[in-house]
Amino acid sequence: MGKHSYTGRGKNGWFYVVIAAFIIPLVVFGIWSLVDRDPTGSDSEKREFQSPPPLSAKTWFDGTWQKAFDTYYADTFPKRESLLAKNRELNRLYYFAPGGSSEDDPNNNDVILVIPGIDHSGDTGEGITPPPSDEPASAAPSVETSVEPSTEPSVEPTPTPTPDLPDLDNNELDVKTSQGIIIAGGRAMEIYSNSPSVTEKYAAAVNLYADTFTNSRVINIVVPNAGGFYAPEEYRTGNLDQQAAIADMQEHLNDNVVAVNGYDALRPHTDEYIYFRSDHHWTQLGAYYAYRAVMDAIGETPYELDELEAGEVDGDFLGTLYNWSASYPQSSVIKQNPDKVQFWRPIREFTTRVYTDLKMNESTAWNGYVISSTVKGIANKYMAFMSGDQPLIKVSTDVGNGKSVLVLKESYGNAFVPYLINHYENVYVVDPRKFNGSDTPSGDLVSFIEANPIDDIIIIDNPFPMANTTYIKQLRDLVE
Amino acid sequence: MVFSGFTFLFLFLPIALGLYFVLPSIRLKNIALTVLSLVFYAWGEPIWVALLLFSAAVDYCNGRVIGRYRGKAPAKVCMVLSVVINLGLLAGFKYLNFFIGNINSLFGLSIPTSSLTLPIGISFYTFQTMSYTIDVYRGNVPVQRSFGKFLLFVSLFPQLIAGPIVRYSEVEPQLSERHTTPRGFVLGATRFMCGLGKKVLIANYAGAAAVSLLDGGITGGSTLGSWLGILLYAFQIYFDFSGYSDMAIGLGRIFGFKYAENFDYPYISKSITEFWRRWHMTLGSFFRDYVYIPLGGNRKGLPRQLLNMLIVWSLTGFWHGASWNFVLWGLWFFVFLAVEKLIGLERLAKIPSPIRLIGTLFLVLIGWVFFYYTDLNAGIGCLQRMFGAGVPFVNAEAKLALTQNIPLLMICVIGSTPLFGYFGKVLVGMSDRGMVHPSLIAIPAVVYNAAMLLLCTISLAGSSYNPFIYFRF
Repeated sequence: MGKHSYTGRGKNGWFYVVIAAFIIPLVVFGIWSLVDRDPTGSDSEKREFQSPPPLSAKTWFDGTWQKAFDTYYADTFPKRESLLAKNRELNRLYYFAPGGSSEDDPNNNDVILVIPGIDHSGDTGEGITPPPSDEPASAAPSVETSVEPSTEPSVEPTPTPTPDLPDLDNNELDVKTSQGIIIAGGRAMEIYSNSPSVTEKYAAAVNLYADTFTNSRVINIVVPNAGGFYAPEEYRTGNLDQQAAIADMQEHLNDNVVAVNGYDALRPHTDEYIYFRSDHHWTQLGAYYAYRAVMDAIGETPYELDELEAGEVDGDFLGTLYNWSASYPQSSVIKQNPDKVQFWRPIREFTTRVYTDLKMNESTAWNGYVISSTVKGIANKYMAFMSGDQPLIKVSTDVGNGKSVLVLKESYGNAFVPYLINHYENVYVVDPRKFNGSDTPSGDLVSFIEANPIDDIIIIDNPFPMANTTYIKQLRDLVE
Repeated sequence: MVFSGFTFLFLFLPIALGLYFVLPSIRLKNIALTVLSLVFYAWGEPIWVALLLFSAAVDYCNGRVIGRYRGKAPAKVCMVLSVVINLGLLAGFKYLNFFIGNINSLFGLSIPTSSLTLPIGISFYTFQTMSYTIDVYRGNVPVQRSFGKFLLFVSLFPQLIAGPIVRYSEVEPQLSERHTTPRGFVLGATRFMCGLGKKVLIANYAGAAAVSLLDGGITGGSTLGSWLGILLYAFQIYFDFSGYSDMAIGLGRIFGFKYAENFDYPYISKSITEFWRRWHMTLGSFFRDYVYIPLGGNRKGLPRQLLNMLIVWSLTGFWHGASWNFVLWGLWFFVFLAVEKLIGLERLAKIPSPIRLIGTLFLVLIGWVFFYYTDLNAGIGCLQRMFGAGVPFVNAEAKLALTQNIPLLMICVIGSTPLFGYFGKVLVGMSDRGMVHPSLIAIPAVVYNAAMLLLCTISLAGSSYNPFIYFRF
């Protein structure tokens, strides 16, 4: 350097360069964020953006406006979709996988990613809304040939990934949430963690049905999720063992319940396509084996698959678990090998009517579908079954045996119900999550069954509702 | 409002900078900063902004009265009043439910708890206003006659909600006259970006990884996994809080204020005494000046000194949260500070420094267990796992977490040492002495700031996990 020293105005000039470089991006993005046209939703996240409420003294002073503004501003920030894509690249550093082979080898069992789980306690299910063209009051149920919903199924927004615990009744601290999603062996799975004190209550709720409806046969089947079979051993043993959890729950079922073991029903078929790799649901093939087990248990002859009309929903399916893990590089293995939704249509003629309550109010009822092959949106394909999650669906068939079945289910039941249509003249499907809440209609199955005699009541669930006190309460509330 | 959010970075900050530097006089600049600060605070606490104003008004008035009646009874009354009111606010908003809960469980009562939520930053600004009044009473600082300037001191948004705890004496001259030099702006902006990066690019990720391990994980936990979890939590809390302090100090610098440092690489400490000289320094000096020394400090014999330390560390713990685990955390440090006092630091210095370093970190990490778990049983469960009771030493989950977080852990370890800070100081020194062409300093600064902003924006876009740990303290 010699004796020369860099001082004075030249140096200040360079300071101004740094200052300008600091301020300009903030100002440019700030102005851009205000003048650009805001998107109304995100396809990749499968949700609509919520505009902030009008600014008023009330919304300001209770803080709702500020919160909503922050969320909306971040949601609609310029180039957010590209930023999200870049975030995925950045996550390669934070969710480091040595060798980085996840993209190349879908069967690489070493690629495991554990991310915080989905909270099921607030899960009210997904359902399409009635097509507006339907004139509910006058429209007689029409024979379903290949009825598709005339509007695109719109789904409720997926819960945003937040580590916070949900606001629940304080008495319900034992609500079980999913312990996490893991990606291994080319599929994403939720890990179920057992809570025997809660599943005992589930069994008691099922017993309550058997004790209440003595003229009906009550059948219960809890089926494992994909994690019960395909998770690395450490994630499906001990307290995470779904086989043991289901068996343990069934110990508490009374003799007047027909208990069908869903684990045993699916176990022999684990090399078949019985679960989606990208979604938390099972496939309709998985549901078929549960159906067979139920039919065997009640002495009916199940249909063989090749007797039914097979088909496939248009387009690829990347479901909930993919959406939850999409910002992690390890999920690319799933995106590269997307799911397909196969289905088997009932062979009987039938009509499908969706009701918003158990009184079967015709003025708000509409024609639903049992299977739709044209569900729009890559993330929504499981909506192909049973018009999504609806409060009450009645399927009237031409079976002509005078028999009726009532299915109590969460979304796993949707892929299962279509098989029953070939066996019963009336198939009623009730989602307990849609009743007796603060913003849902009251529902009373006792009077419902008095009005609509039922031969078989099938309660079908995946393991999470079995350990979810909210769901168990919803089950009980329908008869208590 | 949080610093690490789009609303602050791309709306509030450019508006604040524009307004501040466009306005011609210090008076207008002060008004702008105060209004901006109140909006900043009201963004998160639209109601309790009134509490902030109240606390400021109380101590402004107390200061005036003390100034007028110096040495007389009203002065003392006002000093006591300030302490009572500020501690009363803390008691009412922060500790009331804790007291009710304890009384209920002790006497089997069921006194209803209060539904008031803890106003953001109350632990910080009540301490600042109270210390002002005490300092005025002691004659250490002059009385502030302008309420506007006093309110600016209390509400200034960089340090309002999570510290550092700013003493009135530090900023008193700057309330009336201050200048932002180009050099000061550059240092402040770079410091802000450094803090933003610490928070967004390190602390958030370390926190997410720590939580899944500390809560027993999916598989019930392992010894290695528990240690890894508490280590990641230690990094989270350090990078979160020191990053926040960096942002506060940097922003303050941009607006011409010089705040005291709050962290000095605490994880390289070789004793607990040293750790507390490097960790949350403004809180430590607050308790030293306003509790420990008034109690007699070390001037009244060893037993009294130990008692004073016990009081100070119980309070330090309790300040962090209205829960027994925080008290326990404070007492944990008291025990080792007392031991170090009794043995003598000179004698401890004979132990090889790597051993002292590891020993100190070990004790600090155990301390973070108390800090993390508000539920004592859960904390004991974690300690049991850390010492191998009932869990395997290592399981697949721990192995996975370790490999997954190798790059992050490396960044954390290097970031906890003075390496980068030293590098920065050398650069600034060379620039100040004119030893290198200014572009050689400016260009790296431009690249560094731009890279931090870009990476943080990317990360914030993809992340909703963004809580500041220290907000509720």
